[in-house]
Amino acid sequence: MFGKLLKNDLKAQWHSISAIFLCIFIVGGVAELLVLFAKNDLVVILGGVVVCMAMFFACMVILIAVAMMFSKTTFGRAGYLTLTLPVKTSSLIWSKTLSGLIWTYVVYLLFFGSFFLWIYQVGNLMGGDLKDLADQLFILLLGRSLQTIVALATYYLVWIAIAMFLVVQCLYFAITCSHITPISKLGVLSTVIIFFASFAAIVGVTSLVTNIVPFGMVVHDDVITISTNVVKTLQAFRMDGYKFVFSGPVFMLISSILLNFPITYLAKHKVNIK
Amino acid sequence: MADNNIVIVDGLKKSYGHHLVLNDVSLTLPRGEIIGLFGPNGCGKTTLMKILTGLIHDYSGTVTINGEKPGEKTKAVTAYLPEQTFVHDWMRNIDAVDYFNDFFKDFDKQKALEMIERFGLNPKQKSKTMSKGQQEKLLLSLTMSRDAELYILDEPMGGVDPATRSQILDFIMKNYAKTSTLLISTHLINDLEDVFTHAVFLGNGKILLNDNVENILTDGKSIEDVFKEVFSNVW
Repeated sequence: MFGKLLKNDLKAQWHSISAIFLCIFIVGGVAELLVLFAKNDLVVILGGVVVCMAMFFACMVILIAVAMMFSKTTFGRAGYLTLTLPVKTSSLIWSKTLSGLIWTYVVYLLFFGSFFLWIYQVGNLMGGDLKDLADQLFILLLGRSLQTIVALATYYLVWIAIAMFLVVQCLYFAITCSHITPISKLGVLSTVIIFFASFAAIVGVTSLVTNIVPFGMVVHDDVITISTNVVKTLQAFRMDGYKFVFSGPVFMLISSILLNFPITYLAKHKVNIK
Repeated sequence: MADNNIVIVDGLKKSYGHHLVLNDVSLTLPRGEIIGLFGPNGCGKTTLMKILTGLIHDYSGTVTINGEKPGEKTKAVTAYLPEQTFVHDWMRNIDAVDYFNDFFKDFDKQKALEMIERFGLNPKQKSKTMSKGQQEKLLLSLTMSRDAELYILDEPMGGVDPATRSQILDFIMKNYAKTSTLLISTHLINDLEDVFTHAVFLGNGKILLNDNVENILTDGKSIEDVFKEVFSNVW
């Protein structure tokens, strides 16, 4: 049954966000043409900037679209159908969370993909290949090899993915709370307040956890060291390197998963469909 | 006698703010009956139906369908037709049929497609491009294609022309499972008068009358006459 829920939620969300993808491809296509046929470097750079701006815009819009779709299909008039299906409320919510996340990640992947494609094209135009260019760029920026940078990029990508999960969950939580009487009287304002409050609270506690449990990795001279106390390990390397704490993202991931419980409880016991 | 009654409501209270809509409502709905739920606007008919379908949770008292609180199990045996359309904007009629087919084990896809065709609806037409009457027909086709134990129809003919009304009524009568219970709320008492076997009158948040139609209709009175009589004393 969960598979059917997910399939239908992905379909429903696709119909509301397909316009965003269309815009991405149009803007991306135009920028691509600029890069391919441009006579001077300035146009190439401008094309890349346009692509990145369009993707950034899409990343913001996708979150709004996913949140609106959740509200519409769960607590709007479509809720008369959704909430009378013979399925567990937790399955309903998980399905909407997963489908929302899938589309969000697709847009983010397009964002990063288009960014790296742009770097690749610029690299080609300048006569070098991608690896050389990227290596030079990263060494120039951080003084580290491509291998190290890939490890760090992976870390940050996972961080971003978890952060996006938290954003989606906080949005769903805020929307669900704002449908409870008497909070619902505040309308959209309640959604905004609850979203930022819950997000800030979890990020704040994540920061605390990061300080209290400094488990993670330290990158020093292109060598990755796993450590239960990254601060001390970095000090041992005379502060020459980078520390990446795992406890923070793990806490954020667990918090995001646990947020599903209050959302399900509220949707099942407190929210009335008008 | 839980077996004879599909729905048992006991001491049900529900308010919106300070306004008490259902005040200590207790009633039982027998199986295999076509029950008319009557009452003036705002008397709590829709609220009662939403509680039965599990769309409203913050009430006090007990409500059971087949001995279970409204939830996953009762939703599997209850077919609900709300006042407003519930089909997603993006859905075509065929998508709505597939959606029902995905989730309701008692749904007969072939029957739904036949009903849609009989109503003259295009399976590939999008729900949002249809008129209110057409949407009503689609929702009825979906709801009545289920072999449910309890059908809850909230104003199934509200907002449609008289010709369509009789078509819809005929349609409901031909397509519901005969062992099932039908709970229909309507203001159009005259149009449905002949089909009801049981009547529930709801007013001032209370059940004013809950009886077999045969017992209610004495001295050649119609349900509408009784309705006027009951509610002239209430309002």
